[in-house]
Amino acid sequence: MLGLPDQNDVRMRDGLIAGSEPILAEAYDTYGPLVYGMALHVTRDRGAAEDITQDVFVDLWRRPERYDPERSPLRSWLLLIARRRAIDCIRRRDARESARLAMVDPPPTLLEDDVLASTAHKRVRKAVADLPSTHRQAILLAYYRGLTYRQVAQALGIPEGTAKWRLRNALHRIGAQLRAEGFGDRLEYE
Amino acid sequence: MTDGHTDALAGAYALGACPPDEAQSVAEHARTCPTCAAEVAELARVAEWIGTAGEHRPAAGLRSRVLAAARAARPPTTEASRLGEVYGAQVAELDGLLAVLTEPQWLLPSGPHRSVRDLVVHLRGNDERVAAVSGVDPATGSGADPRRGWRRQADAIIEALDSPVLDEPVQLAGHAGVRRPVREAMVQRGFETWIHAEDVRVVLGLPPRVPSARQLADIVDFAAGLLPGAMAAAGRAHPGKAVHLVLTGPGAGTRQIALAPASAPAAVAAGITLPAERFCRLLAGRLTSAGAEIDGDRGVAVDFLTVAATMGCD
Repeated sequence: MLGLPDQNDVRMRDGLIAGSEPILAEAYDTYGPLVYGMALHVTRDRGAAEDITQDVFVDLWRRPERYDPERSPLRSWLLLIARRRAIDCIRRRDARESARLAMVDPPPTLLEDDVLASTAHKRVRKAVADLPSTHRQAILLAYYRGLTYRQVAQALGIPEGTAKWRLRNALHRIGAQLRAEGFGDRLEYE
Repeated sequence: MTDGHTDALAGAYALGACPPDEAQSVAEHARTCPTCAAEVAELARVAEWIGTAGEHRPAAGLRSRVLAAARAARPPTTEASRLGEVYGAQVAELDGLLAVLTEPQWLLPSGPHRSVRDLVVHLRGNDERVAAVSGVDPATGSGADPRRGWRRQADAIIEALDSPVLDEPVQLAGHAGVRRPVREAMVQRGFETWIHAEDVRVVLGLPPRVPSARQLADIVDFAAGLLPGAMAAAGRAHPGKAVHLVLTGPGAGTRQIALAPASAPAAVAAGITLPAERFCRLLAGRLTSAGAEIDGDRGVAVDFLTVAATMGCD
């Protein structure tokens, strides 16, 4: 496990509480692509993803004391908030449409100009792509659509026990593949 | 849990895909079951990898849009307003103490000064240099009542602080000829005002008061910037050597301070550990003994602490 709190996260939170705009800019520059990427993957909509990114950072700025460096790294916390907000956003759209979208690959025009895709990122994406399609669908519905395993079971017409098992097995498979490729606790950037 | 563990829910849990009651059961179980805690942690990490791998650079224009929306939601604190706030808090504190002094108490010795009255006149004089470079009217601090004059001048300094003024060089109090930008001089003004408030608390029989962690950290940074030069000025420089200062309590942090003015990196010769508050009182010359834990070269550490104890404004 990584040691908490991370001193850099503590520094950033203290700076945000003190009202330092340069620290907010640093947070955006560091984690903006992460938040925007998550919002884009979930919503498949650039405008919505931009609005979500704005909301996430404005919220961080207004109430930085909500983030607790003792409990999680800032990276994980922002990723979680971005995912929750993006899922709320698509829930307001047609649920059936979003479920259908989750199971098809993202439209190439939206994601292909991805200049940030490092080798590490590509390996993770490949590990997800290498899953049996039944597993991949379950993961994508749960992670990017915010479905519970019961809803995943319903959407895929499978028993709940099978949905649970697929989610767990899929993560184990990805983890095993990436560990075998030398991934450490932190996603390495190149 | 039907299987005595997480009932195969670890994956759903890591993905945030459990209904709330089941998520709670998994979390509770994982608290007492290291095997499941390890599985949940590992799968959560994998889920985060998936999220991180989706990183995507937003359009360039989004940055300024986000910062503008943030500014509108909560105005940022400027460096000038922050420095003014920290200093202003100590000014208000000292003024409150002076307000309750009786006539005879004004004549009692305070800190190294012959009387509280002399102390306030001395503080007003030290503040004057910052007031002058900040464009404060020189008549602001004058008058027969030292408390009123000091307070008027202090308020005028805070009022005049803005970002161009922060860059203006000014001679610091206590260190003949040492010139630093107003941003550093303001830290010193807040430092000296706190220390004199402590002197007056002694006169009033009140217990000591610890400043904010932020002010303590500012004072340490301020002193850390001056100490290499002060070591040389005191004839106690140790070129190529540094101390590793570990400060505890409010204002905690570590600093590596070179023991001579040089651009070359210095090797740590001694480690010194003490509370940040005590280190600041030591800097002000208000401690007779540092009470610090020392590792490594004792002579070097003692030289450092001896010079540090001369960094006050008296």
